[in-house]
Amino acid sequence: MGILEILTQLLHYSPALVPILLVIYLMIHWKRIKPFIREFKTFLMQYMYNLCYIRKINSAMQSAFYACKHEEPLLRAFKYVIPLQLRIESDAKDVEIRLETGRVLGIIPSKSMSQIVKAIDAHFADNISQFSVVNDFSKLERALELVCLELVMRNCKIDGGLAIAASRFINKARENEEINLMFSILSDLNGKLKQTGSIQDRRLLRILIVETCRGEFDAIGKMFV
Amino acid sequence: MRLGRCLCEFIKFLKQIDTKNRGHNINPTFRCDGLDMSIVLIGRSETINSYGCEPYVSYIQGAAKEGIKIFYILAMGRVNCWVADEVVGHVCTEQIVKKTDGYSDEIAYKGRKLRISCIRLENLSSSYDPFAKYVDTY
Repeated sequence: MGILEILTQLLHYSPALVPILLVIYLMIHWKRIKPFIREFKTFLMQYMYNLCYIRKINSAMQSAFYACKHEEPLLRAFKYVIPLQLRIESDAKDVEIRLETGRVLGIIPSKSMSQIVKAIDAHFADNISQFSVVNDFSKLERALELVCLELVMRNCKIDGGLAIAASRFINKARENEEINLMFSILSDLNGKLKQTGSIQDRRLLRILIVETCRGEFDAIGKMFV
Repeated sequence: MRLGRCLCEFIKFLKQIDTKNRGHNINPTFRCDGLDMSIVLIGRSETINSYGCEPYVSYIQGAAKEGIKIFYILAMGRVNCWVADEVVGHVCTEQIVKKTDGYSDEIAYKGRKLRISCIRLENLSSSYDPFAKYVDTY
């Protein structure tokens, strides 16, 4: 009778022996198993941490998008303001936006703040912006995206790191003189509209945005695009 | 900012149009610090049925002579948008104004999908010349 057969017979008559045998096996080979157990534990901890972190970010972003849609008048320039849900996929090479039924998914390779900001910007540029009232003016459209990104980040009260990453990203985009000028104008406009009450008709909002920016560009002798 | 001083007034003017009820007349012209603008709302079916696009064309002609530099034509609904295009075609052919840009979309209104349009026209006699201010220097 082989050892396997003896074990099978033993387990058949007494299943309680399984954990005991397992413990004995682990005790004998503990030195060899220890590194695998440690690796598995790290992987599990990392996975759980990422899952909790991304859940926290997603819920904060969802409420930020919702708050912006209802409280920031400039967000009315977009026909649809759909929140973005993030997911970490370590094998992803770059930020990727996937349209799925009922949601928009942002795939990021790591949970770094700059990746999160990049994903939200890509969501604005790829999806939301095509329904903006100024999508025939390329630079104005870009400036509007950046202002709205800043508004979302401001309403996403999560932590300082995200705010710093967003501000770094926006400052880099504002190195373009025209975009910088439009960004300032649009931020001012949003503030003024908050004081006076928002404009419901999106055509009138377009008139306000376009004429204000065009006026400024005319005054300094620049081409409005 | 050119509109700096007038920005609040401009927002008030636009809000007035935004909250305007049917049949309520408001001054469609805004003049402040070099911005002379008029908003032409195409919407009264009785005007369109009786006179077509003629009243809108003659309004733009008259306002352009009075120095209005920018016109915005706003229309909602398939027929009104068609009239808006007719008006634009008419005034552009007469070379009173030129079309600079436009925006059109569909909105849901009382369970129906409605086309909306917003067309910007610029008075040809007051086209912006960024180098005009340097002409007198030489």
